[in-house]
Amino acid sequence: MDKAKLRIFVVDDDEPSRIMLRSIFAETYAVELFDSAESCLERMKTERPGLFLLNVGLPGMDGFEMCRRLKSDELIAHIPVIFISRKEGMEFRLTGYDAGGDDFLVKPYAVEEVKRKVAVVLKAVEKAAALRQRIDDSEKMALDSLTNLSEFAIVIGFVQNLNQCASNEDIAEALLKVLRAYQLEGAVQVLAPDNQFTLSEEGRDRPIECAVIESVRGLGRIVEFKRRFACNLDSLTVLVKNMPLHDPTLCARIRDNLLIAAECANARIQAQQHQSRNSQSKTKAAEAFDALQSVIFNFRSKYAQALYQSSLQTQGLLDDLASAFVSLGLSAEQERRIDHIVQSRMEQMSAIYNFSDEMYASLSAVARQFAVILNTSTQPDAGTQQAAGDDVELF
Amino acid sequence: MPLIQLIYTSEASSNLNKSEVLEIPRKAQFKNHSLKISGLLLFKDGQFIQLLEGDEACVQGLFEVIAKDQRHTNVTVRDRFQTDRASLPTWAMGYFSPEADAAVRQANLFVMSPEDVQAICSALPERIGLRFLAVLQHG
Repeated sequence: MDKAKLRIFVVDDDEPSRIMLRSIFAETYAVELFDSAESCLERMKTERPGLFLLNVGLPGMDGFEMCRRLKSDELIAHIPVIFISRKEGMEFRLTGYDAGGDDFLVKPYAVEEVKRKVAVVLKAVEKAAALRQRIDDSEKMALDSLTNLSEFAIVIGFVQNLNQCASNEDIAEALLKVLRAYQLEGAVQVLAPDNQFTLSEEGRDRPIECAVIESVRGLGRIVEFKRRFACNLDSLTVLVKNMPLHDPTLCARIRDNLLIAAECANARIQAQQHQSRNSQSKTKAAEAFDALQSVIFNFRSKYAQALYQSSLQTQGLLDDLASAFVSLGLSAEQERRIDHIVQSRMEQMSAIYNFSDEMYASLSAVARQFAVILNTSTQPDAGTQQAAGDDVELF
Repeated sequence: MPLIQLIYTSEASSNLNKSEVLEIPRKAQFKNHSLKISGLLLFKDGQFIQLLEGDEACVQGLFEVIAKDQRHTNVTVRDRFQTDRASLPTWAMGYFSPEADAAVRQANLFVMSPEDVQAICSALPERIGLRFLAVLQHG
């Protein structure tokens, strides 16, 4: 409280008493003098003091009644009142207390006494005002904290549900719900390579929203213009068109919370992109695996056919030789030697087919490894995995 | 309760200096308050005029002490009134000299300004006020 500017209203029907009080306080306060309660109340319509020095024994409305009137008005009830009277006594003082007075001065008073009482009452009022302010501040802080918690809970809820968003559209809708929870209006633009769209509660890909977002997209990560706010991230833009500028604190909190939500949504969209690419790779790998299986199957099939045909041809050769031996008139020794040569060659040919068996075994091993890789990437849950090498059925 | 109002005049002793004059309000305010005596003391051009009002015995007792004070002479009672209501709410002093303001401020005392003394004297009952105004105008 600035004493130099503080105004004191002195109400006393006795002129020397009024002049004396003005003389005592004129150097420190702005003192206004009134000879009746009525004239003072009239002045109260245009000016309010920081303190009243109120004589009790006034003609017309007395000091107690005036004080009751002052204290019944919520807007001025806080202004302290010091009664002045020639009367004293406990009952008189209690009446003054009941009327709402802050202190009592009995004439004749000492100059130092009246100065000190005024100072003490003003100090008490100042302390009371400071206390009220602290309580108000504490209440506001508590309310702000609760509000802040509530606002933050919206973001927490959004982040918790983000993993359940199966598509970018789900993510955009979830962000729009966050905006609505903050009583905001706006739009969300998703910029995934294979999926670009703009969504608001008014619809999808509305030209005006697309144009506005396009205009702010290149202006930096955070764009603020009047009531508009935009957050531009790699795969996402969130546009708000009605930020609560009337409440800067609320505005700052909402901005922070929206940034958190947008960052999380952006990360989720990018994760979905990676997931999509992985899924495509797996499909191609599975196709390659099928092709490999087919190649191995054909190889084995043709190999078996070749082996069968080869054995047939060999047997035919042996049969033809046996027939030829009859007509050729060879000795038993010659027949045995020729038969030995043929048998030896047939064994060598058989060895060649054995190489093919090794080839088949190698191809099968590659296929098993391929299958293991495929199973690992398609079945991330280790608990459900089995020994893939034993599990693969190639044919 | 009936009160008495006593007005006297006196002349400052020739050896009374400024600091001694300023000792008067310092002590008188406390003493008079303890006796529930209100009043007004003017000091101008070596002349004193004082109103003392309160219980008759208290006022009379105080006056007798004042009359014997060596700091003034020619102590003369000018008026004595019976009244049921004091004219002033406290006891105060008006100190009229060219250097009064600075001296009073330095001593951190409450001494009424010439303007306020003039105003309060004009507001007092005529029988009292005129006595004071005569001293003021005399200078």
